[in-house]
Amino acid sequence: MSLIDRMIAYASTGDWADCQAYLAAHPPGDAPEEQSSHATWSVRAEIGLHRLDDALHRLDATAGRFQCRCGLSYLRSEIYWLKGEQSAAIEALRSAPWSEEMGSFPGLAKETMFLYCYFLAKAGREAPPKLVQAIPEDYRAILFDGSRVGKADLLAAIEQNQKHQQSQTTA
Amino acid sequence: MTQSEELVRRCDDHLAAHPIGAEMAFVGGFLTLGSGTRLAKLGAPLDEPRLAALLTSAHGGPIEASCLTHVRRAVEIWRDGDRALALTHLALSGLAKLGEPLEGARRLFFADALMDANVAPGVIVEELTNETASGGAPAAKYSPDQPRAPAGSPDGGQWTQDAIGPLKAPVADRPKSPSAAQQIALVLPDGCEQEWARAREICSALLMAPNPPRGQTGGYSDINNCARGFASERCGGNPVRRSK
Repeated sequence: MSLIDRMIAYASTGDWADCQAYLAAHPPGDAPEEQSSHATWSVRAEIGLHRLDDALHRLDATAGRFQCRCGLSYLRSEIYWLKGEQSAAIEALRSAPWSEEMGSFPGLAKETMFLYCYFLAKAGREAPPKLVQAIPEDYRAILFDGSRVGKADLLAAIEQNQKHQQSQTTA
Repeated sequence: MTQSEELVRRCDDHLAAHPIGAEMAFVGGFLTLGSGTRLAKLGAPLDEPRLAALLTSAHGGPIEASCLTHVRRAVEIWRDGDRALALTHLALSGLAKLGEPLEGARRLFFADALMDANVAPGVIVEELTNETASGGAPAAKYSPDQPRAPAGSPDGGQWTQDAIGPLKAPVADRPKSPSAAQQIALVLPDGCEQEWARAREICSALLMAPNPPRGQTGGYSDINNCARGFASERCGGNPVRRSK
């Protein structure tokens, strides 16, 4: 069974302790992809076990192994979001290199771009219009709690903010 | 008096007796439009095919899936108590206001009555989508006088080929229009968010690899579509899991 298949099996059942034990017992080889995958799943296991500070430490310690920098930002944002630190979660996304990785890691580049705009809008802050415009109309993302949202939700949140600001101005 | 004439008479009586709302409104536990036609019941699972058929009828032509998404979100959010955001979604749908209130209300009434008479919502959407150019209102195209397949049969309640003269093929053989298919969505049952959360965890990790394994991601490069392969069909995932 490949590492990926094994990780999917652990993740599907939520056996994160076993997942972590397996990863500890099977260090990665020298190949960058192997190291990146091992680092990713190791952080994922810590998050699954709700050891969020440990997850953050592991993320920092292995940041150099991540090939997908947007993925690094995504995991960091998720950890802060789970810790209840919304501003830090947004800030983590802001540093994601969307444009650089749109060709090599489009999934994480688009997701971090969407989440950055969405979290900003939901926090009552302005989402960069150019980024919002760049998100496809039919794009759907999955939030860290598993709920799915689309661009329509993002636009609604932005419009609500604008109305709120207008009412504040007129008042 | 034929059933068609009876339906028209009932419609005229109804419109005369009820004020016509040009805009969608949340009234008495329902989302309503026109002469009080109930588009959706708050707190109940949303019947999206029916909603799509009613809105298609109200506006006299095809509607975008994204517009329907806004309406669905409005119903969900109103139910959860955020009324301002719900109204914002209604406004963003672009469907909240009828261009021709009286005609829209009339078409809504007919579509509602036809579905009450077991006409499948998809048939109404499809016909209005395909036949908008002909300018016919639902009642002009469908009639309760026309024969329908017997209830309980696979096509139960749907108009037979003989009944729908303009149709070129039996209902079951006609291709579904993309807009109709896109408009049909599901309200997620309990436990599904957890399924999607796990699917997200898997797919986000898979897609961080430079060459994500196509066998697991289904070849998709975005998390949502990849995750469909790891969520059950009950929760809106793919009907058949890909080989792993």
